[in-house]
Amino acid sequence: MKAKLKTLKLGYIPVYLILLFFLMVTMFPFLWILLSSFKANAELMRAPFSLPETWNFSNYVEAFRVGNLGRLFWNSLFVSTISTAICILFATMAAYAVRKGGKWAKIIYFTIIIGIFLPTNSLLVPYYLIAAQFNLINTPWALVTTYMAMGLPLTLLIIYGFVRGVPEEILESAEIDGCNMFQTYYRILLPLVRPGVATAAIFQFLFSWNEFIFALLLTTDQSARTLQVGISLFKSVYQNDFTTMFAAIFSSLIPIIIIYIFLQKHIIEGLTSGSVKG
Amino acid sequence: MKNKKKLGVFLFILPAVIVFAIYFVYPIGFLLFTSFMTWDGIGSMSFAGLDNYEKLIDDHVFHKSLMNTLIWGASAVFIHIPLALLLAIILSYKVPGWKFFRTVFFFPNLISTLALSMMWLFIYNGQFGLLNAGLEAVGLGFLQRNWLGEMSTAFPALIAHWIFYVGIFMVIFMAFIATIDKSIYEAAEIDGANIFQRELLITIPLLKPGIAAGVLLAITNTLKNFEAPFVMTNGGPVNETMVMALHIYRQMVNFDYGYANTLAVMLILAGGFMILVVQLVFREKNA
Repeated sequence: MKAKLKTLKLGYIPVYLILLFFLMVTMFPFLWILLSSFKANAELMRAPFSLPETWNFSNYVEAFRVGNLGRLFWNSLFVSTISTAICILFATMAAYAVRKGGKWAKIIYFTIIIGIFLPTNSLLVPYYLIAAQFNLINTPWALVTTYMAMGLPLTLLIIYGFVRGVPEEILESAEIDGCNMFQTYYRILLPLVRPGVATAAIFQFLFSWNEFIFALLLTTDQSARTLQVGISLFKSVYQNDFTTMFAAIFSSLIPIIIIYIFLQKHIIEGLTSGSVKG
Repeated sequence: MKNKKKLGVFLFILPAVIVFAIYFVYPIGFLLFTSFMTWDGIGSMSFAGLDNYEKLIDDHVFHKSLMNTLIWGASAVFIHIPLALLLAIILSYKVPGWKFFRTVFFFPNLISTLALSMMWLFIYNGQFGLLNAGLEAVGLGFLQRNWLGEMSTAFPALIAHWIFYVGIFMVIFMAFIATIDKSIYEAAEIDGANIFQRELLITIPLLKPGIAAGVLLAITNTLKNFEAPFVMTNGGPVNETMVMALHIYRQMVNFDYGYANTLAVMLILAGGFMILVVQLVFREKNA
C-alpha cells in the first residue's frame, strides 16, 4: 500500500531522459579513456570515437615502465593503509572517551568536529613546516601523519555516531563484570561499532589514496611519491604520448573500481545511515 | 574509582587532542601570526604590520581568485545541489533500475579529483578532444574550440567538468527522503496534491536539514578546489581560472610564506563567511 502511493504517476519518458543524460556524462568519459588507452596515438587522432582496431596492452606496459607505477602503487597503498589504521585507532578511542566523559569531553568533541569545515588547502605552509620539523619531508610518513590528522574530524564524527548508539547497559555490565576501560573498549565496544569503523575506514582510505596537493608538496622523491603525483607528472614529462597517459590514468582507477565493487554496500549504506544520524 | 575513570577518559581522548592541537589549532594561530610578517620560510621573520593585507588590495590575481572561488561556491549551491536533489527525488520513487543508477552516479565521487581533471583535460582538448569530436559528429562542428585555452570558455568549462558529479549529495538526500513519514504523502494525495506540489511542498521543506548539510559540505569542497585548475589550466589563460588554493600554492613555491599565509587567512574567512550565510538563510526559513 505504502509502496504503491509512492509509485510514479509522471510519465517515465522525461524521467529516463534525465537519467540517461546523467548516465552519459558520468560514464562516457571513463569509457572513452578506457577505449583510447588501447589505441596508438595516431589512431586516437584519426578516430577519437571508434573502438580500438586492436586490443593492445602495450600502453599499459609502457606506462608502468616510464612512470614506475608499480612503486607508486605500493607507496600509495602504504600511506593510505597506515594513515587509516592510526586515524581509526585515535578516533575510536576518542569516541569512547566522549561517550564516558563529562562536559569537557563533549566540548572537545564538538571542537574537533568543526575541523570538517576548515578548508585544509589554507594550511599548505603550516603542514609543510610541521612535516619538516619532524624531519619527515620526502618520506611516506609525512603523508601518513598529515592525512591521519586531516581525516580525524570526519572519522570521529562517523564513529561517534555509532558509539552513541551502543546501549548503556552493555557498557555498564561489562564494567560490573570487572572489565577495565581498556578491556571494555577493546572487547565490548569495538566489535559493536564494527559497521561504523568499516565505513569510516573506507572513506579515510579513499581520501588518502586520492589526495593530491599535500602529496605534491611534501614528497619530491620517487621513493616517497604517491600514485596521484606520479600520474600528474605524465602531463609535463610525457606530454605528447597521450594514450600512454590514458593507460596510466585508468590504471590509477582500477583499485578504486575494485573497492567499489566489493564494498559498495558499506560505502552507500554507511553514508546513508551516517548522514541521517549525524 | 571516580578518579580512575577520569584518568581513563583523559588517556583515551589524549591522542586525538594532541593531533588536533598540532594540526588544527597551532596552524591557525601560526597563519594569523605569520600573516603580519615578511618571511621566505628560511631566513628570519620580520614584522611587516599590515603590509601583507595592504598587498591584497592591489593584488588583481587575488581578486580574481576570490571571485572565482565564490562563483564556484555559488554554482555548487544553485546548480550542483538542486541537480542532486532532482536525482534523489527521482530515484526515491524506486524507478526500475534505480540501484544501478545510484551506483553509477556515485562512482565519480570516489575517484580522485586529479584523475578526473586529467581526463577532462583531454575531453576539452582542442585537437582530438571528446567534446569537439562529439560536436562534429552531431553536426555542431562550428562550436568547436579550444575550451580551456579561450578566456570566455575556460572557467565555465572548469566548473562544468564537475557539476554533474552529484552522486554523494544524491545519496545523502535519498537517505533523508527515506526517513519521511509516508502517511504525509497519503494525506496530500487525498487532498488532491499532484506530484509536483507533493515534492515541492512536502519533500523539499521536510528535507531542509539534509539540504543544509549538503550545502555546507558542497561549499567546503569547493574551497578545496586545486587539482582542476592546477592540471587543466594552471590558472590561465591570464589568471582567468585562478582559485584561492592555487594562488596560495604559487606564493608558497615562490617562498613568499608571509603573503601565502595572508591569503590562507582570507580563504578561511571566505569559507567562514559562506558558512555563516548558509546558516542564516536556513535559520530564517525555519522561524
